[in-house]
Amino acid sequence: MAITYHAGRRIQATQADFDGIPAISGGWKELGRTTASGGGTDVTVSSLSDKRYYMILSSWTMSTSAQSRWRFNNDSGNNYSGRYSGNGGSDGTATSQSSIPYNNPGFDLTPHWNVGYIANKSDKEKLWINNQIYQNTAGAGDAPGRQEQTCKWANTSDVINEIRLNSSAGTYDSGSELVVLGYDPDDTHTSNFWEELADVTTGSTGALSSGTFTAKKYLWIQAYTPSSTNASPDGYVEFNADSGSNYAHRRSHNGGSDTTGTSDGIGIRIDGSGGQTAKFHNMFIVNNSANEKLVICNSITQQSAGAGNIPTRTESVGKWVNTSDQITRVDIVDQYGSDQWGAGSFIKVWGSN
Amino acid sequence: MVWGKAGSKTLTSAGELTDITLSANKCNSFMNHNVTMSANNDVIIQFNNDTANNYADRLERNGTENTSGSKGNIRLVPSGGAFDSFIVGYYANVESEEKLMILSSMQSNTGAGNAPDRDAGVGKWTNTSAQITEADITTTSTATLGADSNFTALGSEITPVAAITFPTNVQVGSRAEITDSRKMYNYVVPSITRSDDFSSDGWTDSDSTNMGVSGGTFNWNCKRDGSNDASTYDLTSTSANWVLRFKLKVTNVSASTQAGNGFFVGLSDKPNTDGHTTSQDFIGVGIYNDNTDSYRAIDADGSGLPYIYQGDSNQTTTYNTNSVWYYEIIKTGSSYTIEAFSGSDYSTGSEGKITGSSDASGLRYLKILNDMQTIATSTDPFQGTIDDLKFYNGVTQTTNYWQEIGA
Repeated sequence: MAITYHAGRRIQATQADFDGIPAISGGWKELGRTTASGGGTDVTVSSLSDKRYYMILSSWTMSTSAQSRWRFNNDSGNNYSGRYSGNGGSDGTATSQSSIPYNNPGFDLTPHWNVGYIANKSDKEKLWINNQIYQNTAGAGDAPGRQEQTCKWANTSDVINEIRLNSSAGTYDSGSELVVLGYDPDDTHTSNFWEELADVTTGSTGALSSGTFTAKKYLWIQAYTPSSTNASPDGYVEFNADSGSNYAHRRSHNGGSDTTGTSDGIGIRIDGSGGQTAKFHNMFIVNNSANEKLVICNSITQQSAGAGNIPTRTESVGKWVNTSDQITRVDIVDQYGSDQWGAGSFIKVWGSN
Repeated sequence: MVWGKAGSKTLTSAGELTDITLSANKCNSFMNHNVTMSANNDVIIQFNNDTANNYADRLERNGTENTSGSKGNIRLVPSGGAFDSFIVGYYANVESEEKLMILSSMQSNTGAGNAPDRDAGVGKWTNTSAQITEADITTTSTATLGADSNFTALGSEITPVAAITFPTNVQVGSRAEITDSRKMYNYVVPSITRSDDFSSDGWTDSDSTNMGVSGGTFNWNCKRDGSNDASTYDLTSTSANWVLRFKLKVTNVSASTQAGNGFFVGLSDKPNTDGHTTSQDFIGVGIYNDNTDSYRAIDADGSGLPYIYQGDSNQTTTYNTNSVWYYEIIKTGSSYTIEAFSGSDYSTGSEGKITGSSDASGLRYLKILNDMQTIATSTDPFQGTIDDLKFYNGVTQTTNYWQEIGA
């Protein structure tokens, strides 16, 4: 029943009308971004709204080799510490630093892609989880590199209102970009930075493809396959149905040493378990047509059913060396013959420019 | 459908993040920020109230992998210290399949002189008959998560919508007739039971030198010297629900906080002659100046008041000379909230809302009183004024509202 208004300041409605409907807020919202025009030593997003959580997307290349570093609120005091693992190696740590510590692998002149999350509470240390891929030498003959980082800014009196990508000496190429998304539990917005581009669920055993979707600069993908009848179905991700030898990757299985694959023609390997049971993949991609496409992925394979069987995991980064197109199709493929992913497999693609 | 909030919970006092209702989505992500752990325990997650051994996980801590199966939870962060932790996760949530989760986590450690810990892992919940619709974030032993710890999940199959509320842009005196429940509501203005600009003094004091009305304001001067400094105004009675608002200004505070100093503002069942340490019922706020300033949820039920550094929960704030804060205490039955604002509209510039609970009853006196603990090293000044005090009885809001008048 609609709410109706009557003479004598009387309003008639149902109890449901009276109780109302609570808001359901949307997802990550863009708070700010800066795109470098070239020649600058900083890429800074400032005047950030206070949000409990930030999601940081950054893609950058330097023109001159110098360590790239992060600072919050332009604090150059020795208030940062961190832990990092490069290419799956032993953890390194650095404390009482003047910026977020970073194990510089010496590839500043090649494109980097970072996806990070920050817990941002004024009276608590700011905590940052970051994953990074760097392209390495262009072409499928060289595997990309990767970094895993957890860092903090020890400030306990302020919220982060500025995030600065800063170089000690070098400059950032034109097109380097820092995008800051925010989410707060009290948010009431109904918008989303991440727009749904594809949502496909299979009805029978076979291939899993997103189909063609609208190209976006940033992509977030989740894919799930409940099973496969192939003998050892390692998962790969393939773009635009390109089966040429245009992929290279680096991966760690169950925390083991990194292994690499170059000039692969099947895609970027995102799973090292071979299990025939369910697999779930989460990946982020920077998708500029003129650059190699860089992928950060984390995956789980269920292994045999039951709590007595431990799931396995794969951390991977990869690149598709195409430098003329944007990704507009994603396939989860199996290295062995035709894909036999179980019915009910699904892939979802979200994106934003 | 797009990403939207699937569920969220923030602790208002130390405890565990339990009974978090989540909408069912196939693709999900979540953020979990746990602050002020009380002890060194694993932080864990369970789903749909299933505490049986239906979980398995694999977790890397600082580069060392370990696994755990046939257990009653998935570890989000393994123990390493009573530190803050931050977890980002993704999970697939298909009803007929085991639920699969990917995790990236960290623990803060302490200060910039210590590196945080790094965790990465996966986990599964082996239930194959239901989607995840509820989560509990707890610890493996007795540790609690601190106030303001938060868990927020985003789901991918949500249609975000703005809240739809019953009209309030109507004339006072309007009547709502609910046709199915047959309830009736009147749109009313909450009446102010007591409004005090302190232009005159109706308060009764014990040591008006330190607590009392003069010069158009209520003037407070904190003394932790063992003597009772208190002032009360008799409302004669109050309901289970009420709202108290007042403006607080700090006029003199030393840079040296020594052992800290403070006072209380609230409602009591006992008059000014019954000071801080005397048994009474009380609900109010503690204003505490220390190395870290804070306001605190203070209550008593047939006992002396807690000390100024205690209370059900607290919120850090700033008390400098000329600091001005607008305090709002809302009591709803046996629970109450306290929030300080920088804006006189009592909505802008919130310092944060804290909560308390108490069965205190017979609250009839507006009461402002000192902490009577004798602290020889709390002699530096902490002084100020209270003004524009308003007390609303029988309501939990100060704006016009729909009041049920019967069926």
